[in-house]
Amino acid sequence: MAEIAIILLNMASYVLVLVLVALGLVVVFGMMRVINMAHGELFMLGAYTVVWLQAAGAPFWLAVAAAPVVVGAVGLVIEAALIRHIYRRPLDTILATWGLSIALKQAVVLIWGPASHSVAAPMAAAIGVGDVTYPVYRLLLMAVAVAIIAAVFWIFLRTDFGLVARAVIARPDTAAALGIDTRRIYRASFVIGTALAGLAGALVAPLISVDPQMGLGYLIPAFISIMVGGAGPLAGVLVGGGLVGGTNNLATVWLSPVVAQIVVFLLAIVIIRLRPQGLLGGRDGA
Amino acid sequence: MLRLRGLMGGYGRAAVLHGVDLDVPAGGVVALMGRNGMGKTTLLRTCMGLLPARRGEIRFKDRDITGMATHEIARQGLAYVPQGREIFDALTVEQNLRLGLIGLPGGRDAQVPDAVYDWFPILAERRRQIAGTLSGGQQQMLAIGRALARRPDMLLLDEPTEGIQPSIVHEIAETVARIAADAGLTVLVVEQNVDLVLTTARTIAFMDNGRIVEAAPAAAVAADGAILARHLSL
Repeated sequence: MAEIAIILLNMASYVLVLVLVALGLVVVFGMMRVINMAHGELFMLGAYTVVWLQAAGAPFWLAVAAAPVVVGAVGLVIEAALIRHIYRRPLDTILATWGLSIALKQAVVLIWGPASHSVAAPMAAAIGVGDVTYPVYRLLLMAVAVAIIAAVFWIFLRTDFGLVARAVIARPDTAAALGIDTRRIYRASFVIGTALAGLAGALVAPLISVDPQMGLGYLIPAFISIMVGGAGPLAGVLVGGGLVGGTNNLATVWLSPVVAQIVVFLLAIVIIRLRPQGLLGGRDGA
Repeated sequence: MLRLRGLMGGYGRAAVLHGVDLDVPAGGVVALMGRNGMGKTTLLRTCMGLLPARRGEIRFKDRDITGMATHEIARQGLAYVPQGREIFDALTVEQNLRLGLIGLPGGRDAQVPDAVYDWFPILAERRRQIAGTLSGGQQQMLAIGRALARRPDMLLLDEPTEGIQPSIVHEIAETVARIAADAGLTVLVVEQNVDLVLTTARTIAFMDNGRIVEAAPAAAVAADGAILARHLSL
């Protein structure tokens, strides 16, 4: 019984981090039709921000808070230097951001080396309920992730910025004709998307090995989550992330990591075959 | 108010406008007629900065707006109701109307002016309804109301009667004429429906092959059926 509880808690924390990564990806894709292949590396930069600031003596939580700011700033530069020149050219954005992902990985190798780093968890304590004991940090991670996910939904579904953003997604030309500066909305959304990746990387840094290849391990399931859940409404990410992350995690524990990959891909193929727009796809995002 | 000189443009390499000259005076209501594919919609989209002007000049309120970004043009006071209405189907009526305001600098807390609800009372009734569930005519009223929410100086209206029940066409025509008179609004309307054109416009310009080939007062067109026949018959 205790074992099952721990497995489910681990699954929940993996799913929540995956949803954070996928949410950043889908905000950028939904807004600008930019498939950001460098999203995994922005996630990686978030983790390295923590490595960097901790080495400089900063407390862990300060480093985590700084990560979305640092990575968001990197996102702003990427948008201004690269993305804004290739809006609405999906193939070009895939190539350009793929090149960017290689460049970012190599930059990290040059600065921190190819070896993996470990980030010390801010608290080693575990709390127990009955015969289940679980690390406090993982519980906090889940709470923070839920709060951030809720905040993103609130921004896009309840604020005027979100209203304008959804209008720009649905009908960019008409939105511009109403006086909306679509470029500014694109830029803000890109920065939000990259900041989310950075935050996810920072939060998960104490739990995984921080190395230049870490991005890919989250990027691929995040992409699959979006395809399964549907890229239109934001809620698609919750469904896709839950299904893909949950299946992946449980199959890894009960079967093996390799079988888990196969199961996830089969699941994705079946769902996309039956519902090409994803489970919640085909509904208007705005 | 709006003055076009030698305007050329189109989609990609295909030229559609071959040197358009047109004047819409302040407070005037001008209708643009012509057969399909003659460049009427292209002209409106080019004025709005949604298509590039290849050559020529667009002046609005004595200011050169050629090449300006669409949202900048909108902020100068030029509003546009696109063909097919392009309402935000999944949002409520009120959210659609607010989107006519909140993209403007300082427009965040702006409220929809009462005048919009006075012109289109049905929109006040349906304030909380999802816009996609409105009838075609109501959607058209919403699209016009949305464009007028920020009180522009001039309205570009593209085929407001397309796909709308004939019984509603006349109502929309009268409302547009009334708004133009009440609010001192300048209007350039692209339209095929003769009833709407003769109800609202004072001047009718005819477009053929990417040029304005004739302009006549609406009264003259109403009196002389030959003018319409010359430009619209197939």
